[in-house]
Amino acid sequence: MAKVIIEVCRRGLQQFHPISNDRITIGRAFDNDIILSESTVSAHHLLIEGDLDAGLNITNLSNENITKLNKTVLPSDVKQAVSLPVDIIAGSLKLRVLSSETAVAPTQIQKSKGIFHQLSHPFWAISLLIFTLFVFIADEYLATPTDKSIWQYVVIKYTSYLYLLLFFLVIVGISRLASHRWDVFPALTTASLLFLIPELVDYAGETISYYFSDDTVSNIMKNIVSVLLLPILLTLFIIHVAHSKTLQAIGISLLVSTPLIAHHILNFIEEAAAPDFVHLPNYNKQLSHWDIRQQETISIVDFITEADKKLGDEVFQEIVGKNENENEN
Amino acid sequence: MIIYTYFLLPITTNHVTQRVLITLLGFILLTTPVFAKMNSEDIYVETENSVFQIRVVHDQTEKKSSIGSGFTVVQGNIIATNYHVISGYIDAPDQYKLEYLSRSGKKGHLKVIDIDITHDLAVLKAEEDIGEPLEFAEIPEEGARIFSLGNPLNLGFSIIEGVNNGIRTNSEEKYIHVSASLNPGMSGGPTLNEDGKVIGINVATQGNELSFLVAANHLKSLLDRVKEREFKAIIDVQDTVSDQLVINSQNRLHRIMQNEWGTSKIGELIVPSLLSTSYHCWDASQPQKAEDLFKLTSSHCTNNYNIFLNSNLDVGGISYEYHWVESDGLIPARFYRATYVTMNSSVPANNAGADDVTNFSCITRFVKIAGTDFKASICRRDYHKYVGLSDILITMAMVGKDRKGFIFNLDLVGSDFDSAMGLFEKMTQKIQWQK
Repeated sequence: MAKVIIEVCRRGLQQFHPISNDRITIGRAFDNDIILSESTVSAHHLLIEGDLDAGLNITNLSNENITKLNKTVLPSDVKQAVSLPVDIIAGSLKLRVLSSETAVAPTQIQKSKGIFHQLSHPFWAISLLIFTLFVFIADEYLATPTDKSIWQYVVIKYTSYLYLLLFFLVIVGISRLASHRWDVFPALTTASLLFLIPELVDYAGETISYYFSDDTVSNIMKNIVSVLLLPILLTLFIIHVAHSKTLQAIGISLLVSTPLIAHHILNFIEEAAAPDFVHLPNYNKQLSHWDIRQQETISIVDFITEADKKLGDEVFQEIVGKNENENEN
Repeated sequence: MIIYTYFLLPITTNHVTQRVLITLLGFILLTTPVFAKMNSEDIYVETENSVFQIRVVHDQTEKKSSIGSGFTVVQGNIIATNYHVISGYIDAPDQYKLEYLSRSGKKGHLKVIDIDITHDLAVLKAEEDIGEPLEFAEIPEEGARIFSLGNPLNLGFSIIEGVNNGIRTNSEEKYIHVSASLNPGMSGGPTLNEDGKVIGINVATQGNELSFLVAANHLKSLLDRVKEREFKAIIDVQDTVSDQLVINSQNRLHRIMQNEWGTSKIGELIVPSLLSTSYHCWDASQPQKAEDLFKLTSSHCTNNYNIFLNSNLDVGGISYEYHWVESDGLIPARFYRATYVTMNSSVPANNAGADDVTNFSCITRFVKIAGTDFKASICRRDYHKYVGLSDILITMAMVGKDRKGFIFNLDLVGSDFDSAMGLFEKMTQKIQWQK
C-alpha cells in the first residue's frame, strides 16, 4: 500500500519522512511529528490529515510567515484538499508531499571510462605527479644557461611544488567536506594537470609561434588555458567523484572558478582599455632549434621589396588618416 | 722689437722728414696689435649691444618658459640663435611667443624667418634694428683664444674665455670643440675670435670646460638663403623641419653607403664595423663566468649623432650591434631557450611617445645571408609631425644551427625609410663567414 512521504529540502540535501499516521503536524515545536529546525517556520506550521485513498487535506496553522501550496498562498486555518505530489513553502523552507509510488530518477551510473578516470587510478595519478615535477625541473634546466647541480634545479622550483600541494589540499579538503570521502588520487590528478597543462601548452605555443612566425595562435592557446583549464578540470573531478550530471558539474565548477575567471576577464578588459600606443615593436621573436616553419627562405632583396609594400602603405595610411582627423577637428 | 728698431734708427737734421715717417711707422706698428687682437674688456664693450637674451614667453602668463641667447647678424634686426632655444615656440606657436631682451632691458617681439634644424640654427627677425650686426670669420687655428658670449643661467650678459680645439671630425655633427665653460642660457650666443668676429654659435656643453659650437659657415649658408628670399619668413616651419630632416637623413645615409666600410670579426662571421670615421664601435661582450655554459661576444656601434627636436625627442641616431653566442655544453633545446631566444630583442633608442609617433608595424621573414638562413624583422613607425621620417628597427637572428647563434640589430631613429633599407641591404651583403 502506498505511503505518504514528506520531503524536506534544505541546503541542497533532501530528508524524507515516511508517514504512517492519518494526522501529522509539522513545525519547530518538539511535540510535532516532523520537527524542522528552521527559524522561519512556526512552532506549529502545518497539519496534514487523511490518506492516499480518502484524500489528503493540508491546513495552515501558522499566521506568521507565508505558506504556499503549489505556489498559491494558503491562508491561516484553512483546510485545503490536495492531490499528490504537492509543493509546499513554509517560511523559507521547501517541502514536498509525495506518494511512495512516485517514480524515482534513473540511477547515475559511475563512470569507469574516459581519460580522467584512467588518470585517477593511483598508479597513473602518482605517475602524473612525478611527470609534472619532472617538467618543472626540466623547464628550469632548459631555462638556465649555467652549470648547476641537479639539486639546485630541484630546490629552486619549491614554490611550484608548494602551489601544487596547496591546490591538491584544497580540492581534497572540499571533496572530503562534500562527500565525506578522501578522494586523494582524483584530486592529485586534478592538481597535477592544472600545473602540467600550462607548461606543455607554453612549450607547444613556442613551437607553433615559430612555425607561423606569429604569436596569435599561441596567445589564444595560452588565454584559453588560463581561463578554462580550472573549470574543465573541476568539472571532470566533480563528475568523477560525485557522479553529478555534466551541467550540474559545470555549474559548480564555474562557480568555484569565478574569482580566477573574473581576474582574467578584468585583465582582458584592462588590456583592451589600455592606451593604443605601445613603445616596443611587436614582432615574432621566437627561435627554435628544430627550425620547422611555414615560411620559405627568400632573398634579402625580396624581403626589402615586401617590407616596402607592407610597411610603406600601412604606416602612411595611418598618418594620413590621423592628419585628416586633426584637420577636421 | 718695433720700439728697439725705432730707437736704433739714425736721427739727423737732414733727415727730419725721414724721422717723422719712421716715428709714424713705429707708432702704427706698435698700436696695430692692440686694435687687431681684442681682450675680453674690448669684446665686452664691442658686443654687449649685439648679444641678446632670447625668450620663449607664454602668451597668457607672460612668463618666460625657456631662455637662450642670440646675436644680430647681417643687419640690425636679424638675430641668429639655436633652433633648440626656440623649439618650445615652434612646437606650440599658439601658446607661446618669442621675445628678445637687450642688455639695456629693452624687449621686443621676434619672428622666425628660417631654420636649419640639422645644424640647430634659427634666424629671427625683430620689428626694428636692435643691435650692431657681428661679422663672421673663419675658424682660427687650434689653440687660439676664443670668447663665448651669452646669458648663462639668466645672470645677464657674460663672456667666457676659452681655447679653440678645432672641428670634431669623429662626429657627424662636425661641431667645433672648445675648452670653455658654456652654461645653460648661452645656447645661441656667438663665440668670437680674437678679432671679435663670429666663428661659431654656442650649442652644447658636457661640463668640465668641454663645450661645442656650430661652425659659423652653416649660419652663413642659412643667411644666404634668407637674403635670397629678402628676409621673408618661411611659410610653414613644420614642413621645413620635416623636409630638412628627411633630406639630411637621405644625404647622411647616402654618404655612408659611399664609404669604404671597416669590418671586424665576431664569432665565425665578418661584419661591417665602422661605416664612417664619425662612427664609434665598442666591445659589449659579456664577461665569461666559470659557471657559464655559453660564450657571448658582442659589439655595439653608434654614430653619436642627435638632432634636437624638443626637450624629449632627438632624431638622427644610428646604432647597430652584433651578438655571437655559442656553446659546447648545452643541448640545442637548452641553448635556444636559455640564451639565444632571450637575446633576440630590439628596443627603440629614443623616448618618442604617442604624441610623437605611430605604433610600430613589423614584417618578419626568413632570408638568406652569406648562404645561411636568418629570421629577420623590419619594424617601422612614423612621426606624426615630421612626415617622411620614421624610426626603423631591424633585427636578424641566424637559424638552423644547433649551438651557434648570431644576432644583428640595426636601429635608426628619425630616418628616411628607403635610405634605411638601402643601408640594411648593403650591411647584410657585407656579412660573410670567415674562411
